[in-house]
Amino acid sequence: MKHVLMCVAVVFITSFANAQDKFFTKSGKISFYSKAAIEDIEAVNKTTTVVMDIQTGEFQFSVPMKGFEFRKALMQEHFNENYIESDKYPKSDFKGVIVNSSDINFKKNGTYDAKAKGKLTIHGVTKDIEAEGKIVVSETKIALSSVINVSLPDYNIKNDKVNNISNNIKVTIDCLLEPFQ
Amino acid sequence: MERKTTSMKKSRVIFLIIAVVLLAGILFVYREYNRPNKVLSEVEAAVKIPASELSASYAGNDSLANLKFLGKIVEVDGIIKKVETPEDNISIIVVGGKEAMSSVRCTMDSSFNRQSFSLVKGAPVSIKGICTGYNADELLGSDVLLNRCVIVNGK
Repeated sequence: MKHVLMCVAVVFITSFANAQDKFFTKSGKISFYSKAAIEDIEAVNKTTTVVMDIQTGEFQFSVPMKGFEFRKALMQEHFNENYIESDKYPKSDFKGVIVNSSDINFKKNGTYDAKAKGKLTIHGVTKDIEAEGKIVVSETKIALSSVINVSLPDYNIKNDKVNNISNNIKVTIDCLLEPFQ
Repeated sequence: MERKTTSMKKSRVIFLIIAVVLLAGILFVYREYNRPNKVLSEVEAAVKIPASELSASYAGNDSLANLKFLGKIVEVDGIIKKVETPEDNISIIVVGGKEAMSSVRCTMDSSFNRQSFSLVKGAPVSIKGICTGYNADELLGSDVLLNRCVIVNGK
């Protein structure tokens, strides 16, 4: 009985300690920008879920594709129906790790350069990517920011109108994570 | 002479009709191109469902639930579990039944004015928004996501 209680206590303490290392948001901001001859297109999504483990440097993003909002309804419809096919591929995600996490002190306020690598899945296609960004540690929160370029052909996204939509999309990530309690 | 005048009148009428049709076409394309997203308070919900039932439907089979709800205007009834304001201009109302781990996260429309509602935790509320998907995480729990939400009934 004593051993059973000790095992339960160890499991509880370990999971509590693990949860203490987790930071998250459910309202992360991801926006994209396309510059083409005829028009510039931008959209923003404020419903991205991000979970990060500061002990291991592992983190993941989950982006609901129908959550991207455009200024013009027609653009939003074309994005969902003709390009990203969000009925078929409702989510994009990234699973990766901060490769220089030993350079970042998550317990000390400051701005740190971060490098990450991992697998990005968009439109049902998964690619290995590397990215650079900034991590700002302030009091109890962690801000992640980065800019990556996504090439539409890499993710099998058809683009017949290169004058309207660029094949290279600039994606901006801006997420404020809170400790999991 | 009279025949010539009649023929001129005819071609003028034809020219006028073509010009009107062309103008109407241009106006239609211009308006369609610049059409803004509809404010959801002016649109009827496609589905009305208790928040707990919507969560249960996604927890049971999210692919099947996506066929029913994804991209549609969904109105949910439930109780307010939490109100978040991650940025000044964003409000999120978390609605659910009594289950601790499953909720509907309603990201309110940018026109939403939080001050107009008291939004007390535990109070009943009806909210409609566009269903943008589902997130299930063993740490964070599971959420059905509604976007550009407006309050239908609430204090």
